[in-house]
Amino acid sequence: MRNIKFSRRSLLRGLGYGTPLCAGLTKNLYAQTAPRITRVAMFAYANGSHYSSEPTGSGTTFVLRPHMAPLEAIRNDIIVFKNLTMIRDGGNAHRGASFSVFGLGNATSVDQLFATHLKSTTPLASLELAVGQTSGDGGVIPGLSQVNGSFLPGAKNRVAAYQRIADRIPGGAPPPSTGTPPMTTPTEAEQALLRRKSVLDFVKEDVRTFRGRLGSAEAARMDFYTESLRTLERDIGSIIPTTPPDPAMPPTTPTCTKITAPTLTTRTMMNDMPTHSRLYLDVVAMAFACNVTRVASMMWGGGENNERIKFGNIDISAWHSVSHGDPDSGPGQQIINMQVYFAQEFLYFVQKLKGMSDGAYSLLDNTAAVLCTQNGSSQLGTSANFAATDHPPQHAPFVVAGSCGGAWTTGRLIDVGGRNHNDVYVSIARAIGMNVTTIGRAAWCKGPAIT
Amino acid sequence: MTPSGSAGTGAPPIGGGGAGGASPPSVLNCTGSLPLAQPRAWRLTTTQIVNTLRDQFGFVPPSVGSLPADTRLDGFANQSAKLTISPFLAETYFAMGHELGANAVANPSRFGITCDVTKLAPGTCLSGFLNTTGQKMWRRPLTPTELSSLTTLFTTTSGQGGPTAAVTSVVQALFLSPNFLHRTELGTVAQAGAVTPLTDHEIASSLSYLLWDSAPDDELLSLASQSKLRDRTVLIAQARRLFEARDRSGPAINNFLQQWLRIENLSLAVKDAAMFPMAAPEIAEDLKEELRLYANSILFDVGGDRSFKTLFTASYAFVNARTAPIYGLTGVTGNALVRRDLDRAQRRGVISMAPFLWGKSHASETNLVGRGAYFRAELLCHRVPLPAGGVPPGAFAPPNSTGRQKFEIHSTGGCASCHQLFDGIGFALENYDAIGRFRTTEYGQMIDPTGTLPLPSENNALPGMAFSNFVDLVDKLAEKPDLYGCFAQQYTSYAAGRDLPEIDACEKKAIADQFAQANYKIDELMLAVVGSPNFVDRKN
Repeated sequence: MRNIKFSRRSLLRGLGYGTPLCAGLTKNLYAQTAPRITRVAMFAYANGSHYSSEPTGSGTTFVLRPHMAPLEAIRNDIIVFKNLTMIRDGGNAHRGASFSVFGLGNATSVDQLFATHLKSTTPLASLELAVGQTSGDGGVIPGLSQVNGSFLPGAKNRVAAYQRIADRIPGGAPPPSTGTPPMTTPTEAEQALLRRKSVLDFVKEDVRTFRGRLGSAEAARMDFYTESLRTLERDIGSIIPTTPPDPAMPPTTPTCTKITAPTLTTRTMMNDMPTHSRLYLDVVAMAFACNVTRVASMMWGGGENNERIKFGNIDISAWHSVSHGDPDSGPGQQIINMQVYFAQEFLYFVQKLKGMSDGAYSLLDNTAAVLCTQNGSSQLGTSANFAATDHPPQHAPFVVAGSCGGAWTTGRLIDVGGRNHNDVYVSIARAIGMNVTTIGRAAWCKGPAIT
Repeated sequence: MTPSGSAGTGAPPIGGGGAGGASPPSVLNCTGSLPLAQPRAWRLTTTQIVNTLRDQFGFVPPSVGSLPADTRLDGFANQSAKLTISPFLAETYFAMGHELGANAVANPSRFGITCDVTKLAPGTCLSGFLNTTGQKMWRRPLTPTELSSLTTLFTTTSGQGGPTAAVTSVVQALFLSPNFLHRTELGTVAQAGAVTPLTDHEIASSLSYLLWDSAPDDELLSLASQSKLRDRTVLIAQARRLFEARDRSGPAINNFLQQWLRIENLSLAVKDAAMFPMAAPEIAEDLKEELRLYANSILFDVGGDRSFKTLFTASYAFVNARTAPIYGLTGVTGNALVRRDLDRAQRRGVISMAPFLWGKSHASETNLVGRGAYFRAELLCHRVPLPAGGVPPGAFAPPNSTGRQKFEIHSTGGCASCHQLFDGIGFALENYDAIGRFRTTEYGQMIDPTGTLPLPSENNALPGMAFSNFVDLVDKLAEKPDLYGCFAQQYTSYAAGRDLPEIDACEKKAIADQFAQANYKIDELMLAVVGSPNFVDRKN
């Protein structure tokens, strides 16, 4: 055990970081002004869904199709949608979906809008994770979040994904791989921190000078880099060891616990999903429980991903190709199996949040967790045209779990009558405190879908 | 024989042409000086960062393994407008910078530290360290102001942990600086609307990152310091020198070719094991190596004529025991790839070879439409847009239909206006299965590889150039200008880090014309890009 005696708060003050910024590292400021700290997790999988995925029934008596059957266990915690359109622009279906599944018709994706709204309250504004990537004519896109039209690469390396969160949880020095050496004495710890600040101050000033030579578009990219550097700056508090606890600071959330670090550093491919996906879900849950971030997005294979996937009862020779196979025979069953798998993963995540306390509520109560596909259902009337259709955006399977701080009632089906997924995110945006009536492209919105 | 007409002339605008792609050719008025691009900062790609550190310090930070691939969409993965630094990248760069700094402490001489690093203090030794490492990383001499700031940083951080810790911090700061992570094309003139000539050091970096994917070497930096790189003769001579250093230029060219052929992720194109038992996963790397050796044989090996025409039409391949069966070759053993001639009745050029055919096919099926659309977009530079309303529904073809039978529906109605532009290419390529083996039948039926190809240079007039099979298509297309003009555009786009529509049409034409005049020598194409006004000047 390390024997750290100095006061984190006094050190932070000494570094010129007043409490407003750094207090947010371990104690969410939002908690002081709002009764509920809300979070948003967004999950999307590639290549559309089977044509008969959409739930039936209405209201609280909805019936899940086999594709979503695992979610029956949490039916009272979810809202399922009917007649929902995953709208996208024209052109290649997968390319269009890569932009619109989280982009909602704008150059900056909705998770990044949420992150911008909430960023001052947590060390990390957002967390992006990815298993697999897009391929083919949809381009090569390593994630679905985007800022000003540039995609943010999701962490695909297990260790890197874990480390981003674990290093920001008080309770131990980060390992060497983060670039900060182990801190064995208060002096060394303090000095390492001071050097880190010195380096960042230098670089920020350097960026400012560099930016002065650039035109507006170029300067905007430098501003984005500055914003990224600020994320590193916000870390300054969180890497200080907390043994013994500083009595001046409130305790961390009871369910905030570091999970076991992974050791495998291989880049995640689709076949790795059974082990990697669960780790990533645990990392998101850890990040939420420890208030390291309040916004997470994850991609399970990007558009037109054509990798081989073989585990459990899934044996897909090439995912995208199979998605265009006969829906009423082997290929269709494989797509259903994939959807069941993703539903199981979502179930695992939701139940995990449900088991974590967040004050008087569960973490799930304060979260909106979205499960969707990048494309809609291929339901255009009959199964016969499945293979020839181009992943039409209509009738998309779409689930929201949790009530995002009590913003709505769960356990029901909402028939949105063909409206776009933007409107679901309008509801989520309002639940996290954004005063909006549209989000993404305004023309794609009609108002909150969850009322 | 050199095809008549100016390569690239008369082609419809990229991405234009409407659904039918049959709009009249744009009339280019290219008299006068070429327009100049705007100044910019261009973030290094991961490959360029790795190569730079390897070449300058003999060290690659392990954390680079955490970096994901850069996005590639609508063109190449090196487009400057798309290369940003997200929080995740900044964090990883921060770790890499620290690792590099620690390496400096362990290997001080590589970083210009000639004294005891544990006693480093402001003075001659520190100046040597800052000047040497600064120039290696920022590819130019540092200004007195910059050296002063770094000295201050050293002094500050030395007081926060001693000289070795300060060395680490200074190197980390040099790494995180936009002066390392970006190369600039700014020049020194700030006046709005004015031409701003790039500095010699900016030109040195442009040249070395284009041809080596790495930082300029001592000779280039020396010439830059002598202000000689704006001398066109010197610049072209240096470009030739860099190109001839095949160990460094070869990988850079291969990087371009892999992206052009879309095979950088070949390992993800897994094949149906039941249908293709011989398609072992390690073949993906064999095929990438095959492409590299094939390009090298044309560009660098003795007897290579450096011609794109050869790249597009040759009938030989590099195979090992695993890949020889794809070409129907026997008697090849071991892992090493060896050159073998191919059946000229079956194979003609890089598009008829396994790396492309394997990569541009599905797991069991061939991807007839995808192959044809790729060819039209990337070899003829005609991006045909998908219908705005999405692909209309159709019906399943009967089981065991040939590719042509499955997609005959495209020849009727509204589908035909686009599909007649590229399905013919796909039909011809049906002679190669999903792993690239030559075949004449599918499901027991004869494959009909005949077709027609409307050419951009002929205003996409229908029915277009008739061919009897893919070999015939290649032979005939090799005598047309379209292919060469497009390849010149592709390389220009890659070199500029801008997507094709963003590059001025007259500049593309000028480079394509020079490529044609040089009998399609790829090295001359590279020199044409270097010799273009946009390589040395910008306009505010």
